[in-house]
Amino acid sequence: MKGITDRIKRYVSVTARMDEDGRVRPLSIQWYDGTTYPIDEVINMRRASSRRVGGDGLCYTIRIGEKTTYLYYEDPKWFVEEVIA
Amino acid sequence: MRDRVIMHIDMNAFYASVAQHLNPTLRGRPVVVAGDPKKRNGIILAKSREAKAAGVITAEPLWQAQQKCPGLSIVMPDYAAYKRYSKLARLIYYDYTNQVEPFGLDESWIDVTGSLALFGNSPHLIAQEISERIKSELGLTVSIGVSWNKVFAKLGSDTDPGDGITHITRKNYQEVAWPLDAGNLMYVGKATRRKLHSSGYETIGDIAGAGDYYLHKHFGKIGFMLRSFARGEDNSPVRIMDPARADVDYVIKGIGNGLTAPHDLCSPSEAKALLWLLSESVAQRLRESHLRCKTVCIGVRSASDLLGYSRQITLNTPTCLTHDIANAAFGLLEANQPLDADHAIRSLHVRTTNLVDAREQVQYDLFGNTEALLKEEQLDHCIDALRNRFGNGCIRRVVEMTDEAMAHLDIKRDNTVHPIGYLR
Repeated sequence: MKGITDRIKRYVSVTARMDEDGRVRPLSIQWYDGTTYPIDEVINMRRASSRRVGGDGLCYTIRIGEKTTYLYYEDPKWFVEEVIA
Repeated sequence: MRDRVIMHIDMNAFYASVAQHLNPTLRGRPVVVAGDPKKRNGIILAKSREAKAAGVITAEPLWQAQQKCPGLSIVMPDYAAYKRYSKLARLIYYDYTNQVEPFGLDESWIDVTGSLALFGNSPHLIAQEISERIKSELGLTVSIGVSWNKVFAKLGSDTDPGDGITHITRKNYQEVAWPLDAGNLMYVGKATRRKLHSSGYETIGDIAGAGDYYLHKHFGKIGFMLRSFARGEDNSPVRIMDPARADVDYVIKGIGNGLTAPHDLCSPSEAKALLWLLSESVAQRLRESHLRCKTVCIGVRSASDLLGYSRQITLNTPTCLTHDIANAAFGLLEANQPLDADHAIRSLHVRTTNLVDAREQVQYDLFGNTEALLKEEQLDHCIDALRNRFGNGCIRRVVEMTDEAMAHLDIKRDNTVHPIGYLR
């Protein structure tokens, strides 16, 4: 069975909406191969550090389809913890 | 009156932890933050817990550390990141109190006496919450000392280098603090430690019990201060600082720059080049802060035995001119040692003290040429303006370019202010 062997820090392009009160909500992620993943739900947002890949910032817990994952806003860049199988 | 509740929060192995946090592959491995051996400032600035276990100590040369600990990972310092994490940590402290006094980049005192009731009336809960938040939000660990005064709070955080919380209370301080070696107390350094030892004072408890006569004879008024520290009688307040600019908002008492030269300085022209470079940075910083200096000091470290001395001179009129400071510094150096290969210099330091506000009136010489001085000041301001727009390297003095290795140094840009000092 293939499992998660490691994770690396992957900076990604993000389309986000900035509200009038300054709050930022990510709407979709553009992966480096060109695919766009729309974010179905932002479950949670808090300040956090990534123990897995290093770095810290605003951590959005997001749902894409049925998968839940984290998207970090490390001012001024966005990154995810990419899975290397 | 109720006792204060003061915490001293110390970020463990700060520089190395930040490096490990930013690059997780370094985690769990011996890591040191060190200067660049090629520029000859390759000494250990900070070490991770793993490197410490291997016997690496701060300020030893890189090669020595590598001998002790093969496979040591070396990273360059990243002051921008340290400042950022230092600030983020302080922002967490501000969630609990407005009384946050930073002590260097990685340490802070906070006074939570007034806000205790808001957080469950338990200092331990607050300390735990801060420790957990720093871990989850910043990925760093802290050790926290809790006590009723600043000195014991610091002592507490120093005794537990892991990410722990140490309480030193009125009930337990005689068991916890007093058996510790005297060197753990603030302001007991190597020299004081040696003096105390020679009279048979070994622990903090011994200092607490020392007599007036002994203390005054050997240490002067500092002796009484040490004793009150040891007895937990320190009542200095945790200063309230502006969160926006907590790093450097102390009154400036001196401005200085020093550098270990890229190669040993064996001739007047080489020494002069470095002194001018340093003076340039110092004078520029003086002008930026709208200050003039009355005293110029130099520090010199010789290459042969690495011993140093310092000399100072007081000027007739306060100045912020580069060439006044540089000439005073070079005059001092020339007067104090021959400049040749036998007396090669390893590092130089130029410092200005006795600062006065630049807007104050200056009493010039009766027969001096004031106009020329003013012109020169205008010229320096003009050069500053150019440098602000195009970088410090856009305009240089010939005297600084006589030495190839030093011509490309930008001392002003590389300067970082580390505020430290308890007695202000």
